[in-house]
Order: sequence, then C-alpha cells, then structure tokens
Amino acid sequence: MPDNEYTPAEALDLIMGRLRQRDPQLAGRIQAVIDGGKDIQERVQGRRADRPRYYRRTVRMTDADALQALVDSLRAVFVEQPLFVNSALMNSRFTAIGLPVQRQLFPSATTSNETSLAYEHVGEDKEVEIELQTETQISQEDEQTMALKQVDEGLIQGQLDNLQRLRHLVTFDA
Amino acid sequence: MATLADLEAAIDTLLDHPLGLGWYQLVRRVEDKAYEAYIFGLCLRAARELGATVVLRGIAGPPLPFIFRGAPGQIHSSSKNFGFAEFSLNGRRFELHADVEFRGTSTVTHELDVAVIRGEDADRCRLEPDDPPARSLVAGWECKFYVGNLSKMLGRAFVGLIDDMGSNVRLTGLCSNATHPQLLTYFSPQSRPRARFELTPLQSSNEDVFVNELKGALKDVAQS
Repeated sequence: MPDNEYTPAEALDLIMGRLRQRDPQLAGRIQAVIDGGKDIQERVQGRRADRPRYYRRTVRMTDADALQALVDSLRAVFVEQPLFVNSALMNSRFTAIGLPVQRQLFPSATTSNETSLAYEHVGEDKEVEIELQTETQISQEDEQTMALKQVDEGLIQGQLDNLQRLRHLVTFDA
Repeated sequence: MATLADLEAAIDTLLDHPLGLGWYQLVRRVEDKAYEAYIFGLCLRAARELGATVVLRGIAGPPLPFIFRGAPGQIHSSSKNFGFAEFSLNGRRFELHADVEFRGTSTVTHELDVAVIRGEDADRCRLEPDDPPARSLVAGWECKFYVGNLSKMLGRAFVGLIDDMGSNVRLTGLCSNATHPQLLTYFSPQSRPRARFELTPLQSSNEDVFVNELKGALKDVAQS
C-alpha cells in the first residue's frame, strides 16, 4: 500500500472536483454510483449464544470504497468502451458481406427468399455504424449515424496503465 | 510519499489521454449501442466457431455500411438499411438482429437488444411486414453498459419480458459489463434468464462462457 500524504476524503474531493470541472455529466453519473451505497452483511448475536445471525444492509460507502468505485467507473468509460468497439469490429472481420450474385460469378448461396448472394470481403474490415437520427425522432441530430473506429491497442494499454497508477494512488491501508 | 500534486497529475494524465474525456465525449451518446454491438460480435463468434459461414446483410440491400439501430424498431423498417447477420447450421437458417421488436404471446411488443431468430420467420416478417412472433425467437439478450452497479429494476423488467416470449426460446440473458450481487441471486433459478455480468473483453473467461452457452443452444435447435 502506498504511503500517502493525503486522506481518502481529500483524494475523493480532488478527483470528483476535477471531474465536475471537466465533465459535469460524467461526474454526476459517478456521484450517483457512489451515492447508491453498498451492501454489507451485518453480524449480530443470534438467539443462541453460539450462533451469530447475519443480515443484509445497504450502507454509505466509505471514502476509500468510493475511490475504488470511482476508478471502476473510469475504467468502464475509458477502457471498456474502446475495447467493445474493437471487439465488435474484430468479430465482424471474419464475416462475409452478402452481395447480389450478379456482382460476381461464385461462390454463392441462395437464401430462402430466393435472393442469390455472393459472399465477399471475408477477413476484411467492415464499415460499422450506429444510428443517431432514429426512425421516430423528431428532433434533428447533426449526423444520421456514427462510425465505429478501431482504437489503437497501445492507447488502450496506456489508459490501463494510467488507471493502475490512479488506483495505486487512491489505495489506503485499512 | 505520494502527494496531492501526484494525484492531480495522475487524474489529469488519465483525462487528457487520447482515450480520455475528448474521446469519451465523442462516443458517449452511443455507449449503450457500442455494448450491444460488442455482444452482437460475440454471437457472430459463436456461429463462426460452430463452423457456419456468417454473412452480414442489410434489410434493404448490401450492408455497406452495416448499421446498428439507434433505438428499437421493426424488422421490416424502411428508414435505413439496418444490418443483420445470417448463418445456417445443419440446414437450418438463423438470423442475428439488434434492437428488433417482437410480438409477445400477449401480443404486446417487446424489444430485445440482441436476438437470434429463425430465418424463415424473419424473412416472412420482412416480406409481409410484421413483428416476429415469440415462437421465432431462439435466443435473446438485454445488454446494459453501466458505470456502476446494475439496477435491480432491469432484472425484474427482463424476467417479465421473457415470460411473455413463450416456451420456444432456448437461451436468454441479461448481459452487462457491471454486476449486482442481488441480481445474481435473482437470476439463479434455472427457469430465469442467465446473468452474464462482468461480460467485457477484460474478462475473457466470461466471454467464453457466453459464447459456449450460445453454441450449445444453437446446436440443440439445429439438431432438433
């Protein structure tokens, strides 16, 4: 455990303050996670002297708990999100694109609605997009869709290292 | 001894990184859909590992690009060329969809974030516009990206949804990058959807469990 010159409360204040300043929306989401508390098993003496009884109780997080929840939340947005994108794109690489058979002679397959398809682009990157302007939406988005872009693995590792450093700095002796 | 200045530097390094706030603010609005795309990709992997040739298609033509819906919609939608995947196993055709609405046994429609559907039912519902019936569903998942613990409400709602999808469905589950200890207990009875929590690329063993479970369900249906 690191020997820190600051308390868990000071660390939490500093990080949450920085987040509020830089991205109030993300800060609000993380604050909600912290404010949700945590479940613990409370131990009390049972009726029989030799048998304790346990019950579940939701309690406030300690500052140290809150710091760990905060780092987990940051990992979700800064590391897991790019990994989701990369995984989705990687798995789509191994698929084929079904194109009308007129575009090439073979190989082909016939689907049940009698559309003859050629299988192309296996092993190639696919263009994958997510709809922004949805079918029923009246308000206008700037763009119709957003493309998912492969993220450099080195950058993801860099963020993992940064998170590990942060977690180290907010881990305190019990 | 670490100082507050060290801590300040560490948080700034994280936030200012190329995958920090600048990147996140661009992708934030699709973060739930990115998680669905990830689960969709794991389903592609399951079909591929069973030896199937998986083909990406669009509801109105070649999926160039492949578009994921931004909100629940109909399988026969005409607004965009939404993508789906198609594959065959043992002569049976299946389709993999995201954010498609199904007609429950009560006739009320329900959206599934990612679903495997029997191919002939999917075709029929595109040709003669209709919501796929509950009996067409082979497997379906609710997919939730959370920055903290999951909400218990999600579990209760999903159990209710699956209850309306009849008895043909082979595999259902609530997938999330997060977890919730009580929801794990809630989903533990055999008849309930599976809790596939902490399902992220950071936990490859959880990915393997998900993929193998789907492979098993697809094999059962293909051989039945």
